Amino acid sequence: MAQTEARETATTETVPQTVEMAVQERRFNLRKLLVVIVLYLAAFWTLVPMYWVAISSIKSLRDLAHIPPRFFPTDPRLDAWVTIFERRILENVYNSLVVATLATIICLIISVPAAYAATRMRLPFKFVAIVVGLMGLVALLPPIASAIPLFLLGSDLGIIDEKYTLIILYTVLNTAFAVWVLRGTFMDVPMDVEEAALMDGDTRFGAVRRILLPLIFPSLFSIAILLFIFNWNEYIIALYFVNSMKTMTLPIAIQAQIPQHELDWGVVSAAGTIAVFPVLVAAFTLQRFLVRGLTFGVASGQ
Amino acid sequence: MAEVRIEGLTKYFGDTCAVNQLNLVVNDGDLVVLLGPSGCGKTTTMRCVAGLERPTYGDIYIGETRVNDLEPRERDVALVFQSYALYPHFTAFDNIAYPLRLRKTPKDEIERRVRDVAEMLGITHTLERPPGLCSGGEQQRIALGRAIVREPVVFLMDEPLSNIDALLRVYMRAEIKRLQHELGTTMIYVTHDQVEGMTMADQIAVMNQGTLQQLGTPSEIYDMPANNFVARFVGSTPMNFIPGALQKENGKTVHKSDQFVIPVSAEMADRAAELCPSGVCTLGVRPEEIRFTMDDDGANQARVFLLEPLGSETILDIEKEGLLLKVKDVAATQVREGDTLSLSFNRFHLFDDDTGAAIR
Repeated sequence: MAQTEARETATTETVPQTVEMAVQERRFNLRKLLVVIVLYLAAFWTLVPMYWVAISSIKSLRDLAHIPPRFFPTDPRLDAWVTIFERRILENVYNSLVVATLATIICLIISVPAAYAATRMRLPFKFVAIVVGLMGLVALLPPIASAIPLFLLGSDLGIIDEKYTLIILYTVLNTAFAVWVLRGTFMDVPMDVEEAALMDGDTRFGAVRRILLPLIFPSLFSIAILLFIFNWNEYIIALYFVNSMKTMTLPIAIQAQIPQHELDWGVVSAAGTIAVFPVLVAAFTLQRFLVRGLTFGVASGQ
Repeated sequence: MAEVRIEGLTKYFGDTCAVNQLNLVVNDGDLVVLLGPSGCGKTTTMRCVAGLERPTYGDIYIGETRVNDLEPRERDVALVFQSYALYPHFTAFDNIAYPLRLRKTPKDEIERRVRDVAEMLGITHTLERPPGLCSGGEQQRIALGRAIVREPVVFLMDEPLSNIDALLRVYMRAEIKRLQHELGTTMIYVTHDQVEGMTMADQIAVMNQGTLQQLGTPSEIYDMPANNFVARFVGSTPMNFIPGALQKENGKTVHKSDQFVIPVSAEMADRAAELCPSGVCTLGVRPEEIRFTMDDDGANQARVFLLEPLGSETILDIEKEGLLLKVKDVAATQVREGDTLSLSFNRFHLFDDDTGAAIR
């Protein structure tokens, strides 16, 4: 950072040929500085709570209870971590991973063809909007409002406390969102390119697989990550449908660390840290794929 | 190699009729240009031949096969898109090789054929690049290469030159024509640019509002337009139109308008009496068919109000009582703005005002 700044100052000193240019350049740097400050504030704002949770998991009881709060643990210990591993937190992580991953994959398998049909089959916009709207209705309700009837339905069917039930429910809740976002993505790819593949001798399915999907892969990947995060974080539905360690997902497990009487903040923080970890990984991966360079330049001439 | 036969092609999009009762035969090895303004149905017609659209009514034959119900890939037809529609995630080589790979062509043959085509088109140096890093002209050639490499029975071209700059276009149209001659493959070429149509076509099919206006060689289209639409659309300096009516004067038929009295040949008068009894018709004359002299006592006088020098020729803008005429002066006479000229009309056409059809 300091180096870049030094280099910038150097350019400011060497480049300006006129006073106006120098003024302009300085103004530009000032703006850049403001942007950087705002970004740092935003990063601070979001990262501090995460940091707080992470250090709380290794603080001693004395540090945890200390007033004013201590930003650095004076006597770090791993007791909380030992406790949550003893409480088989890894099984909850496994449950969450299975449910979130499968629900994401199934959701994409359903929504990619649906979104394709909605963009490429010359269906009237109204029709598409109504169908997707109906699908989205469940997702738009407050989760608690749909959770209770869903729970009644589930218990009638005898599928409470099964991982596949959570997978089905998460898929249903996310499909409308996924179709809608994918629709926009598909519309960004000109019809020409796909038609060219048909003319070159490909089948419709082949054209989608070999041309369309590779072109939208970055967006597809981003949507997958988003869905995964939704599923990973889901709490309310899981609260109703989870009865045992067999299905317990991480958010429910974290909640379960808070007992009725004495609250061990260290243990809750350790569980919370584990929950944040995959989301962090996802966010960093996402960042690389959010660059949507590929579909540009499909249209001619540029 | 095959002829393309279109019989009674009609295509509706909802209630809109894009193509109406089109009949057209493209002979084997011919280059036929579908020419018309945007929205005239030329692209729809071509897409029906390609198989990207299904005709509402009518039949399309390629060779002896009725192709109405065949998928595009079963028709062995190549299409070059206006946007080129290259695959941005492939290199130029893979773009050209794609149709061959789909046909399970052996690897070494793909390599050989792609290289041959690239050489023919002068794009060997681009083969390893993605199309996004190629110039417009190169992208154009890659798209052509992709169409040529598989040796289809018919080429379809959808305004392939409209996205490249004017200078390159002049070269590319000659090149496409040369390629078509060399390969001897039937080609249907869609354009709204009448110059492109005139320079490239063996036959031009002029379309407007979904119907075929005239089918003929470029010179037939230019010299004997079937109606006033064709006359207006073809010609880089547009034809002049003088509304008026046929009348008898001293036993001879003349076309009389507010501005001019133009004698009509006996033959034409006879045809007009038969085809257009009312006599109300518009006279159309091409800018190069108006002769002029600088004397100011002849018939049909008019004043020059603007000169448009083009180097090899000059266009004279001539005005008389609200009527504008464009006259081509090839001989570089010393006409100046404000001069009064006497005009005579060498070859002209008469168009029935009711139907728009040419009287001949």
